[in-house]
Amino acid sequence: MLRIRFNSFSLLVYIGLGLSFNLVYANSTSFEEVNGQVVIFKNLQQQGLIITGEQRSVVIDPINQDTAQEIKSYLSSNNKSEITDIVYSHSHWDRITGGKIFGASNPNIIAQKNCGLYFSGIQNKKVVDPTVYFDQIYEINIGEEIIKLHYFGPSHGECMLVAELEKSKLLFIPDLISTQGASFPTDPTLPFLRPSTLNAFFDSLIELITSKQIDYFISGHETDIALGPTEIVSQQKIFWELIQDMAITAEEEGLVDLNNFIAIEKMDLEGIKQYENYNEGDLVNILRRYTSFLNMGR
Amino acid sequence: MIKKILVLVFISLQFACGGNQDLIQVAESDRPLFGKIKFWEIEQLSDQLYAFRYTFYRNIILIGDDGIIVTDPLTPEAASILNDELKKISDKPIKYVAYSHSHWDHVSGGQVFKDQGATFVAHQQCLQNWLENPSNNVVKPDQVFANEYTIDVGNSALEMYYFGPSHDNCRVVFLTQPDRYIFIADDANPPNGMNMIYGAGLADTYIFNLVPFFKEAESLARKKRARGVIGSHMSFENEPMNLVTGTVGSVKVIKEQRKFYELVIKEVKRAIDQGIAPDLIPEYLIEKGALRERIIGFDEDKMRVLYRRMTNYLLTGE
Repeated sequence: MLRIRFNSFSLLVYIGLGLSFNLVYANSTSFEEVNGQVVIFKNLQQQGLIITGEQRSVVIDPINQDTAQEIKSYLSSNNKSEITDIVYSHSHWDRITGGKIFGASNPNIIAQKNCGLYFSGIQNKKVVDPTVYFDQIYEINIGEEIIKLHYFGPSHGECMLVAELEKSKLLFIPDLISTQGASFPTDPTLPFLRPSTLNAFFDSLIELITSKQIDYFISGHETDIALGPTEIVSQQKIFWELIQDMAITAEEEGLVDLNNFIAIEKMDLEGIKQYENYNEGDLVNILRRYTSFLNMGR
Repeated sequence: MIKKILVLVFISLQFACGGNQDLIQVAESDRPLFGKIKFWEIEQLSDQLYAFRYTFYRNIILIGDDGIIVTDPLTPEAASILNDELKKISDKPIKYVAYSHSHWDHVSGGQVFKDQGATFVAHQQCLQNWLENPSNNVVKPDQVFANEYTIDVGNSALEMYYFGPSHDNCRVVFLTQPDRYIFIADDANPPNGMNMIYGAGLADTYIFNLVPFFKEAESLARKKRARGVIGSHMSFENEPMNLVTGTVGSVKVIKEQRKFYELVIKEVKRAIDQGIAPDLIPEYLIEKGALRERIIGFDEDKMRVLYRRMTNYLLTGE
């Protein structure tokens, strides 16, 4: 199986990196300290980050108002500074509706500029509009940590960013990649995938990982283990390349029907079967999205 | 008096049936596609307006005193056929190619027109899409615009309107003048906007603006007194295998298309409000029989995908 389980491995990583490993439960949100500055919180299938300093604290994806309230309590009870910056990793409401709770500290709310498309004339009253939009890169320096927000083009949705925690040498990759290994996507209809720019996204991300020698990343999914080795990024890229190659082969061999579905029983599935969460029904839907992409360019 | 009433009824029927003027077949392929439907055909709607269907796709052509406007060249083969046939129809030069959106399956093959000096026109975001992911078969536009653009070739014109992202992020609505037909690529295909859609996963569709987009198109149709809609795809009547070419239909197809999306969104929203777990919503709605009687050619497999897509939209805003 290409999807390697990293549970015990991660524990060793924590120890190796000298990171503390404290799991604290507060109501429905749990908090997990990665190191003195970085805390993962989990709720409702999602997870986000808090990065704290003497003067400033940053939250990436405040999930919802209940979670935000629990984050506030957590910071207060642990004598950490209140939230001064909120980062929206992308535009999806299921990650970002908690911003209002931090209103009293008048935080900056930061998002990549393409998110504006989804926030203009906002249909969800619980989402607070960003106050800062950036294009390619944005830096938040809280002293104890430097957070660099990178935009590598449309990937999962139009505006997903990757957060680099420079001093901790960690990445936060909100979606597309699991810390548990390269795998099939959870939703085979691929509602938010941008195939036309996906390779460029992975290439830029891998370049960042290589140039900054970053060994570990944190994902945005609650079910994932805390840290995953960054080599998973390259493995996940290979998964999508394999999918695209299969769609091209199916087109070339005339296996695509009028409804754009592929007769996968006539295809060699050995390579793809190795990935975690493989099932034939999902593969049919995933390949259909890719045959559409090959036809449309989008 | 009775004669006047009959005339009024006749005129009303004309509008209700999308003008219902006779389509004159100008040329067709020898090769069959399905049954009696040929691989390609060219139909004349007026002195200035023609429709070219190639397999399941269609574009429109406007011929004016100053030259010809071709829309969506489709594929290199389709464009080549169209070019040859247009030479038989008119001696006017092909001066413009107008793109409806950025998807390659509609806009490939324009080089044959570029070689004759045609100017290519598209919404500005389409150019961005082609720069991000270029295709050798797509000629990039010479002229881009933001909101509206009119290409005038004398006594005939193509008006192009952008109402925000919808299917693709740069699709525009075409309105032909002086005949006042509307063309919306990939949606609102006659005879009925409540027909089961082809791509239930709504790939590259900006759902949050779909309903507003169609409301704008309906408003345009009213304001400009559009007489009908020309379909960009072949469609079916009453049941999926009863294929029809669907060249022209009533403008009510646009409203039906809006209702289609509105109804699906409403059903999914109701299920979410009732506390149905998101993963279970598609099966719940299928078992409940939701929209089974409203959507023509209701296809359970496609509806599962569509319900799932709409659930994602309502939970994330995208």
